[in-house]
Amino acid sequence: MSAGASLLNANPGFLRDAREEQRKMVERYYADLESAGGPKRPVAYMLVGGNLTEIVRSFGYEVVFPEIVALNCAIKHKSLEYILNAEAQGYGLDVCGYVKNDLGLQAQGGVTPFGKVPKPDLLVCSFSGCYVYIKWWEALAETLGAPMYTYDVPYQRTEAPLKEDVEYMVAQLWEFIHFLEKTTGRSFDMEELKRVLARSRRAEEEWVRYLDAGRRRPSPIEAYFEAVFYMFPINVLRGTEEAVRFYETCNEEIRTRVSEGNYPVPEEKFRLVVEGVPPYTNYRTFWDFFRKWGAVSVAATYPKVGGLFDRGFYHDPSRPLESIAEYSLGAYVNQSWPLRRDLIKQYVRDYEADAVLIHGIKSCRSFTAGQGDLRDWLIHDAGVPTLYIESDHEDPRYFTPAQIKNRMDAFFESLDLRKRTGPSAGPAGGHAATTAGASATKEVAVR
Amino acid sequence: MKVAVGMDIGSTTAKCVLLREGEIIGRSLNPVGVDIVRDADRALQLALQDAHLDRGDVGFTTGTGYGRFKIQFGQLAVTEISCHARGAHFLFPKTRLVVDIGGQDTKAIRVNERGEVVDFAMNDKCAAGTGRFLDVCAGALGLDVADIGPLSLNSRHPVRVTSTCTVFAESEVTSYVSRGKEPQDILAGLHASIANRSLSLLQRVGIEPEVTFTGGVSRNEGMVRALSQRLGLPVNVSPLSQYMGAIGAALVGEERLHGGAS
Amino acid sequence: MITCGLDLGSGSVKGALLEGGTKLLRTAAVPTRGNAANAGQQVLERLTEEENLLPGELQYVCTTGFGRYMFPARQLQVSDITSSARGAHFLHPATRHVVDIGAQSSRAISITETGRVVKFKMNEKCAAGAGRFVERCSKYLQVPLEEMSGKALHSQQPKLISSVCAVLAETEIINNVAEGVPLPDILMGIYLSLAQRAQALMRYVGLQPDVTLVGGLVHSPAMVKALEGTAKLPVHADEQGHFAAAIGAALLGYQRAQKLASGATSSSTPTDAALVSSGGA
Repeated sequence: MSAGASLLNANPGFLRDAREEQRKMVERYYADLESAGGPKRPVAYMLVGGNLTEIVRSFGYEVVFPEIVALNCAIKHKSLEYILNAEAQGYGLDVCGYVKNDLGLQAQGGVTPFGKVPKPDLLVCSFSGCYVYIKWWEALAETLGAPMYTYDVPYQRTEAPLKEDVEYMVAQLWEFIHFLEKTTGRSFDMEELKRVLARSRRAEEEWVRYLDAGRRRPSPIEAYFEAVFYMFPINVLRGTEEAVRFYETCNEEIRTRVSEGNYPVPEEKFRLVVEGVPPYTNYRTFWDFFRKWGAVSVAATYPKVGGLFDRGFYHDPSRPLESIAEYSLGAYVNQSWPLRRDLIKQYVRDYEADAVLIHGIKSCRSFTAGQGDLRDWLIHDAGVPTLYIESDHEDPRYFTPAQIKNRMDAFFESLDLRKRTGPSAGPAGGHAATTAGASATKEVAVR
Repeated sequence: MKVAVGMDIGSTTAKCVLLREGEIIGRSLNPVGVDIVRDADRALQLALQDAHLDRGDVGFTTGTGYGRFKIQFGQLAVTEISCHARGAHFLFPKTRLVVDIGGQDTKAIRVNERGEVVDFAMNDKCAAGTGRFLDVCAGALGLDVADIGPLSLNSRHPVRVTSTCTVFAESEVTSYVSRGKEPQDILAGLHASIANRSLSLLQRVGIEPEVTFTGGVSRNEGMVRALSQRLGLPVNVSPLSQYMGAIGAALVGEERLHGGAS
Repeated sequence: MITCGLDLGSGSVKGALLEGGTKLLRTAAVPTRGNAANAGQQVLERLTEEENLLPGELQYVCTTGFGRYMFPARQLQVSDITSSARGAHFLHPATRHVVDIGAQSSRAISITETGRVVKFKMNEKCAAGAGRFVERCSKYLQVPLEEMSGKALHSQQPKLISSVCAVLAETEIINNVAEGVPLPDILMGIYLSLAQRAQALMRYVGLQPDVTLVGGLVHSPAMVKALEGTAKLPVHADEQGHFAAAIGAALLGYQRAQKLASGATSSSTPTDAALVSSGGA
């Protein structure tokens, strides 16, 4: 009965050097930010999904992603304090945890346990995927008095972006560049942008190589719990040599892992594809619920909210603005539901996953909305066992360990049974007729 | 021949069932408190007494329910979702859908012809429409929860209840009383509203006969009728429905005992 | 003049007799049990009996609480926000901030030095369950209600309960029991969770001393301690704090009766004005 207990005491299987380097990178980033702000080192706030880091950096801006600040606060168990701060201002229980964390934090001067987050000199809003973004940025613009620039990223309904959408985006990017030239008094340097994009590209390719490792059996990577930590440079430090080096380190360590047979879980029993934002407030507890069952995530959609590089949306110095436009359009947050669910189904197939886990965010009514239908579609139409768990990315009041654990245990119990006794026993039956289940059982018996 | 023990430690009671060769030979039900270890021990003792056996006869013990990890003499812990499925299938072999309405949870479980879980859905983040809701409503009406089922069957003009939040149940019920509604009509309205809520959960996993109703609330005849009406299907209810989890656990244990699926 | 305030709540009906709007004569409470009018009648009878009031001596009955319209023999009804504020001010005149934790809902009210409501906020749809939650915890943890607070104060490492729904929070508590968390830590966690829920309401209306707790949990030092921890201010809890809304109603009833006696029949009574001016959510 205590089979899981000894495991739980062990450290989760992070890549040792990469994790250490990531830690230092994050520390350096926040330490550098402390002195930023004002005309000399202006600060731009941006949103992760399809962000314009390269362009903004080429004008000398430091970049702050309040979503990432918020998730760092949640991991440090500080988010509730800021959320309560925002609720005291009148923001309701159902308002996005990222938004409340940020507004609550700003209200007390931006001081976090990992450093002081500078106020914005510019608010760059990507109207993409999430409809709350624009309201959030408006609230910041009003309370902090920074200028706000919004660009519109058309929601994607086709796998390859439409020519018209790309042209529309490129036109907006030129507008944005002219706006930045006017605001900063600096002139745009296309050659510099291309150099930055070349570095982005290298980091992106290394990142994709890292994510691809999940195809191996057993998987040498934890494509959700671990990868979420390694997302930081691909979103925040894209375009720097630091980011390139980081992913090179990751991939070297993976080679070592494979040669030493040192995997994220000692014995890989279940391979999962994970969808949704993690519960950062109880990250470790949530992870332990999986590890206990020998479950490892081999692919996940969330690490791609910034960009679907593995689907070919790379930055390309030979087509600078076009590739930025395509990258923004192709970010995971900006995909329509049919595209999202097809992608998940493909991940299940390509990474030989046993099941899908969806983690829904209670306070998210944009990226999360539709996940209940996704669950039903995966089970009934795609025949993939799927579990839907709901808590919150930022608000610990929504993370109820006893109930979540009970659902996970029940799910893995039936998954385990399915593995042992054949498909009809698994949690993927849905509307499939009983007779279909029975014949499947016979097949197994014959084998 | 050794017996398989199934022990279901819930939030208020411990249920214990002894199984030998697919037959229930002893059982017990007693309240559970803070000292789960002691209460589980007592539940086993009582069940053994019931079967005129002693601890030496125990072959394998499986725990279920929220307290399942606390059963120190147990060899295996299984969630009540798997156990209710097994238990319902044992008592009604044609079961394809299990509705389990307990104190704080409502579960819809789809099972296959072997009694294995195919899919399940549970109430999330909200205890609206669970057994606790009925407890509170009974209390607000000054009735014993055991009496509300039969009483509700006399209803001729059920009220319409939209909110089933347990926390607000008292004021909800009180306001009906003050508007002069009869207790049976209020109760019938409450039952219908819980049936509605359960239906959406059941639809999520797919409705297919036979349907077996388990958990503490299945002893409420008014609720059985409301659910059956809403589903448009007959609903199986066993006099042993409270023991469903423990029976399922014992079945899992018996399988292990006789070297079934490893 | 003797006036009576009846607070018809979902858990119990509380009553208070006031003489001349200044002297608290007597209080009484009876469980509601689904019939607020009946319980209200019982309270009224008990108060008049115990106080040996002659017929006609009780001049005015003012109701409050969610069941305030359900009691037929009333002359006036006021919202529980207004009555709680007035009651807290009556019991502790330095009060500027009232935290009212009832059986079903919680609210925070900021008031003026005369006890007028400035701003208030009630809990949102789900974050409810206050007083009843403690009662239920007492039941399944098998700790008598009156011992809950005392035991909680022995906590070394309180175990916070993370659930917005009070009923599902029980599951988490059961899990804590199963995991062997010491009882005092579980108990203190319950009070801290309630305090945490109240915190956002309190900060919304503005925290300022003196803070007064009213409602059924005034006799729980652990609740007071938990609130003081989150509010970072001393929290006053009066022996009669459970009756604050009833006392407030009796007081408002007195003021209305005075107005009537002095011949003012305009509809703009102080009570109505107080109701209108109580901005908030």
